[in-house]
Parts: sequence; C-alpha cells; structure tokens
Amino acid sequence: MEQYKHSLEIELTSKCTLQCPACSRMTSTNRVWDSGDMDIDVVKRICDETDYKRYLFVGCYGDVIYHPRFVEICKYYQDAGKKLLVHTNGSLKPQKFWDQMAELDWSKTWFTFSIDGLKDTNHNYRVNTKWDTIMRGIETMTSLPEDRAPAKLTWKYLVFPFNEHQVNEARTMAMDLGFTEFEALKSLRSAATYYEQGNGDKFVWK
Amino acid sequence: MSGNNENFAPGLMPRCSKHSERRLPEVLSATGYLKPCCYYSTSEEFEQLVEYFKDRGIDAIGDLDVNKNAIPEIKKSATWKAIQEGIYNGNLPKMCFRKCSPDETLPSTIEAKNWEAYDGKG
Repeated sequence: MEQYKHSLEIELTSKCTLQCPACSRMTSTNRVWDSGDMDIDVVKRICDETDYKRYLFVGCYGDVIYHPRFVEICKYYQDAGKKLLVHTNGSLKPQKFWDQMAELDWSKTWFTFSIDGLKDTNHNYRVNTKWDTIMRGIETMTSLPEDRAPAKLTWKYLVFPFNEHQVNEARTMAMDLGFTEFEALKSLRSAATYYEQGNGDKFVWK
Repeated sequence: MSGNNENFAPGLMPRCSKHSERRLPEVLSATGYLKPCCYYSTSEEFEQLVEYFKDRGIDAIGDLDVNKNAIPEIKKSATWKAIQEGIYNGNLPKMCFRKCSPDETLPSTIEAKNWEAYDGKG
C-alpha cells in the first residue's frame, strides 16, 4: 500500500487586511480569529525538527505576508532547503517589503497570487485590496533572475458573476506579466450564499 | 497502527490518511496547535474536536500544542493516536464524517482547476 508523504500547512498569522465576505473571519459566529502571529522561534523549530514534502504558507484566517517577519521566515526555510508554497492576496505591502522578497531564492517555491478579477472588479469580493500594491508584488516576483524565480508562479482567479467576463483578459494579462500558470476556479462559495443585488455592481453575501 | 484504505470506518473516506491519494496537509494554526487537516482550521471546528476527545478523557489542547511539544512528540500523543485509530474504528467527531464521506464528490472547483477544463464549459 502506497503511503503518500504529506505537507504541512502553516498559518503564520491570523491577521488579514481584507474583509472577503465569505471568509471564515467574516462568517464565524464567535469571531475568534485575532490570535496574532506565530512565534518566530516556534516557526524555526518546526523547520528544524520536521521533514515534510512541502511547507504551505497559506492562511485559514490570515494572509501570511502580514506576519511581520515573513521574509525572515521564508529565508530560514529556503536556507534549510525546504520546498514552500505561498498563497497571498498580495495587497497593501510597501515597496520595501517586496524589495526584501526580491533578495530571496524562490526556486523551490510555488508562489500564488489570489486575484479575483481585474483592477475594477478584484475588490468586489476581496474587499480592501489595492490594485496598485498587488501589481507592485507581481512586478517583483516576475522580475526575479531565472535561477531565483519561483518554480511556479500562479494567478489564481475565483470566478464570480461579477468577474466572469474578464477571465480571458486576466489570463492574457497573466501570461504577459510573466506568470507561469493561470487558474480559473468557479467559486464554491458562490453556490448557496451569493446573490446579485441592484444594478449588478453591488454584490451581497448572506 | 495498522490498516489500509479498504477497511476505513463505515461512512468515512479520510483524507488525513497516509493511504489517501487525495491526502490533505496537516495544519499548524496561528494559535499554535497541530491539526489533522484544514477542516479543523477554524476555532469553532477545532473546539468540537477538543470537546469530543475531552469527553473521552483525552487532552487534545495539551497534546497538540506546538509551543509545548515538538511535532514528532505530538505524533505520538494520545490525541493523534486516537485520530489515526478513529479512521478505522469510527471514533471521531462528526466533522470527520461530514467532510470525508465516501459519498462526497469532488467540487466543481477541482474539475475547473485546469484551464482547459474550465474553458470547455464555456
């Protein structure tokens, strides 16, 4: 019987600047999400004491780039030869942050920007995102030297009624920008909880 | 622990099993607990797991705390062993049966993950 070596998903922080309507932090009845940042010493110890196939820096309640020492954590894991996967909305970090990110070796990392639309629609679901700051991150990650570029750089696009017409344009844009992959996924979250209201520009979750 | 994917507990097709082709990652939450999968990521679901084992005399909070235990030690804890054995004896919280039922079909998002698949659906 084959045994599948598995990965470890690490929620480095419970912080997120966004307010995506169907996120657990918005729908949770007891709203317990502000548990802060994972202690850096614990994060490093986990790197030292384990040998998972891949370490997934993604979030349940949080987005990993908002951990105040995210760059340092990534460097520690990369220096240890670990394979990483990063998922982020990519928004609201300053140029200084991306400059530091540009110094690292992402060659063993699958890096994903979750962007559900274009400049005029991404914020419909991903409330509070700032398009220009996302582009800042994308420009950084697509401009790395080949030997330090992410093994996979993905634009992940959740398809909603408000952005369905832009999928082709986004895919073209992703390829032009230098992404290696474009994933369009119909949102599971839209099925039971989503409806359109008013003139089509406003969407409400219930 | 013994077993394979042919003798899982009735009503269960667990994706935390080392025999699962669709194996989910283990999860370490910002709260500092190692969890068997992302379905216990949120605090509400995790509380259900903690209460379930508390009723059976097992201290999941103490066992799964990475601030107190190394991950290799957590894997030897009573809670982790109970979860692994529960795959076969069925002694697991209801959440496990809801999220990892053999009747569950892959969501459309998985099917649409490849662009070509999505494209074909127009």
